[in-house]
Amino acid sequence: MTAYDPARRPRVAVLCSFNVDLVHGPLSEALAARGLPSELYFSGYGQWESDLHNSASELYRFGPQVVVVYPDLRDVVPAFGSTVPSKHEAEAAGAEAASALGQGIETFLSRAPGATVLCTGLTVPPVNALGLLEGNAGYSWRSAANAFNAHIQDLSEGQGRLFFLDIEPVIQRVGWTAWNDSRLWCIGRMRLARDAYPHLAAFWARAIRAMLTPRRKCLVLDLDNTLWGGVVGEDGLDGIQLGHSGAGLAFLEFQRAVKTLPARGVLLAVCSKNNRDDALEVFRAHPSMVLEASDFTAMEIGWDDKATGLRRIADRVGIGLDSLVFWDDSPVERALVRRALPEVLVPEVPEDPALHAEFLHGLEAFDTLTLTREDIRRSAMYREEAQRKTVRAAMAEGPPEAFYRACGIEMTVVRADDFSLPRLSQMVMKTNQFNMSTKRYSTAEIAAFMRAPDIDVHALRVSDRFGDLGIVGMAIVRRDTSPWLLDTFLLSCRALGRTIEHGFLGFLSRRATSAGAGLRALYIPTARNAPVKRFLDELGLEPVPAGGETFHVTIPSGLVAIPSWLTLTIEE
Amino acid sequence: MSDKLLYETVARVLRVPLETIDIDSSPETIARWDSMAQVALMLEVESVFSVRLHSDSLMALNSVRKIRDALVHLGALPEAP
Repeated sequence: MTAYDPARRPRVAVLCSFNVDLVHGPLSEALAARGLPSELYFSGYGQWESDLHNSASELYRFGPQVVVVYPDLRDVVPAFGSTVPSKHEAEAAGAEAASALGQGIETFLSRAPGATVLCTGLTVPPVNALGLLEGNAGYSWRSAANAFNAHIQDLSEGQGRLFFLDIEPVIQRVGWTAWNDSRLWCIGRMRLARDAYPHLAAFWARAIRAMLTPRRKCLVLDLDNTLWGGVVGEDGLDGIQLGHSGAGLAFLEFQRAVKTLPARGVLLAVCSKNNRDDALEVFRAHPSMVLEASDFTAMEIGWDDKATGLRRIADRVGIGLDSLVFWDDSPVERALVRRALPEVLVPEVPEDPALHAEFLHGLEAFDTLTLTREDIRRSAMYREEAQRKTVRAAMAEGPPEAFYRACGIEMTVVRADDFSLPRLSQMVMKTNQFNMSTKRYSTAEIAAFMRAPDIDVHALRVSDRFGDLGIVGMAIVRRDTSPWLLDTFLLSCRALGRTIEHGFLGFLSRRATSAGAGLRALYIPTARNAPVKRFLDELGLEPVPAGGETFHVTIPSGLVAIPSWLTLTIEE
Repeated sequence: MSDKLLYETVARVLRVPLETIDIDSSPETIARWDSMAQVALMLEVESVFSVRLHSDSLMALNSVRKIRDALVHLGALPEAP
C-alpha cells in the first residue's frame, strides 16, 4: 500500500459516471479536516472510464496516489429504467458492467504502480420499474448491483491496490430522498442532492485516510460508568448497572461492541481509578460481564492520575501515545488527559450510555482497509507473552533450562515461499538487534534468492505451549562458496532470550557439515546489533576482518549444539 | 427573510465581496457565475429560504432580480424590499 509522505500533498483523482463536481469543496474540506490537504482531479463528464484506459489522459498526467471511482447503476447498466429483465439477466448485466470497469482499473493499476484505486459499490435506486416485483417472480434489480459488487470485491482480493467501498450504509443513513435529486440530472447530468455531498466527501475522506495513515492500535477504557453503570466501590458488585434491561443493557451492549475490537487488531486496556480488588471482582464474579480480564493487554487500576496510567500502558504495550484512544465518561478526566497528553485521542463520548455502542463502531480512529494475520493475532500474542513472563517470574529461582523446558518450544524451518515472503521482507527491513549482517534486501531481491539454485532462504517459525509466534527468523545461505556463506542470519526480538538462536544456527551448521561444506557467517557490526556480538562471544567465536566493515566468523562443525529442550522440525 | 439575506447568499456561493452584489447582478456582471455556480447557487437558495424550485427555474433564475421575483412569488420574500 502507498505510504503517506507528509512532505507531499496527496493527489486524489475522482472518476464518476455522472457529474459530481459539486463534491470538490466538501471533499477538500473533509480531507483537510483529517490532516490530509490534497490536490484534487475530476474526470470530465463521460470520460471516467476512458481516462483509465488512455495513458495519454489527464488522469495519467495528474499522477494520482489515490483514484476514487464512483459508478452509478443507471449509467453502467443503461437498460435500468427502460427494461424489466429477469433476475438472471439483471445479474449478467451487473457482472458485465463490473468486468468492463475491472479491466479499466487493472489496466490503470498496471501502468500506474504508485496508485491505489478505491471503487465505490453500486446501489439500486429504491423507486424503479420493478416496484413490488423486486425479489419476486424471478425479478430483481438488486441482483445486478450484487453481481457488480461481488466482481469488484473478487478483483480486490487478488490485487493489493484495489479496495471496495460500500456506500449503501451512507445512503441509508442520509435517506434516498435527501441523497438523490432528479432535477439536477435533467439540467446538468448531476445525480446527488445538496445534502449528499458532505456525506459522500466524509465517506471518501475516511477511506483515503485509512489508506494513507496508520490507525490507532489500542482502546483504553475507564471502568465505572463506562463498562458498567454506577461506582463499584460505592454501589458494590450487586449495585452496579449491567444486565439485560434498562441502563444495564446499554452497558452490556457497549461491552459487546468493545469485544469485537481485538478481532479487528485493536488492543484493549483499562485505566481507571478504583481499588484494584473491587474492579477485578466485577470481572471475576459479575454474571453479566461480557468482557473478561484476559481480553485486556494492560490494566492500570489504582489512584494515580490517568495521564500517568496512559503513559505506563503505552510503555508496557510498546506503542506510542499517538496509538491510544482514551474512553472515559467524565468530562473532567477527558479534559485533563487532552491537556496532559495531546497525542492521545480522547473522543467526546455521548452522555447517554445507550448511544455508546454505535458511537464506538463509528469511530474513524480504528479504521483500516486491510487486516493481516499479524493484526488479527496481535492481542493474543501480547496475552501469550504476558503468560510467559508470569511463568518465568515464578521459575526465577531455578535454572533457565527449566523454564525453556516448561515452554515446550517448537521450531520449524521451512523453505521461503510466496506466502512467507511479505513477512521475510518486513523482517529484513526492520530487524536491527539480532541481525548479523543487517543487509537490507528488497522484496524482489529476496524473491530472486529464493529462485536461485545455489542459494537457500530459510524461514523459521516458532511456537510454544503459550501460543504461535509465527515467522520470527530468517537465514540466507550461499552454497556457491566453500565453506558455505551465511549471508543473512536474523531473529525478531520477540523470539530472543530463549536459546532459539542457538537452535537455528545449530541447524544451519549441521546442514552445512553433513553436505561436507562447512559454514562461515558474514558479520557486520552496527550501532544496534550488540546482541549478535554477545551471542558470538558466548560461543567463543572470533570474527576475522574481511575487508571494510565486514567480518567472517567460521562456525566449527559440531560447536553449536541444538539445545535438548527445543523440538526442531524441518519442512523443506 | 430579507433581500440582504439573498445578497449574502449569492456573495458566499460565488465567493465575491458582498458590495459587488446588486439587484442586477448576473453572469453578465460576475465572471464566477458559470453554469456550475448557477446550480450551486440555486441549491443554496433552496436551503436558505426553505423553498423548492421547479427544474426549469434552476437554470432560468440567472440574475439576482429573477431569483428575488421567484422568492416573492413563493412567499419567501416580501414584495417590497
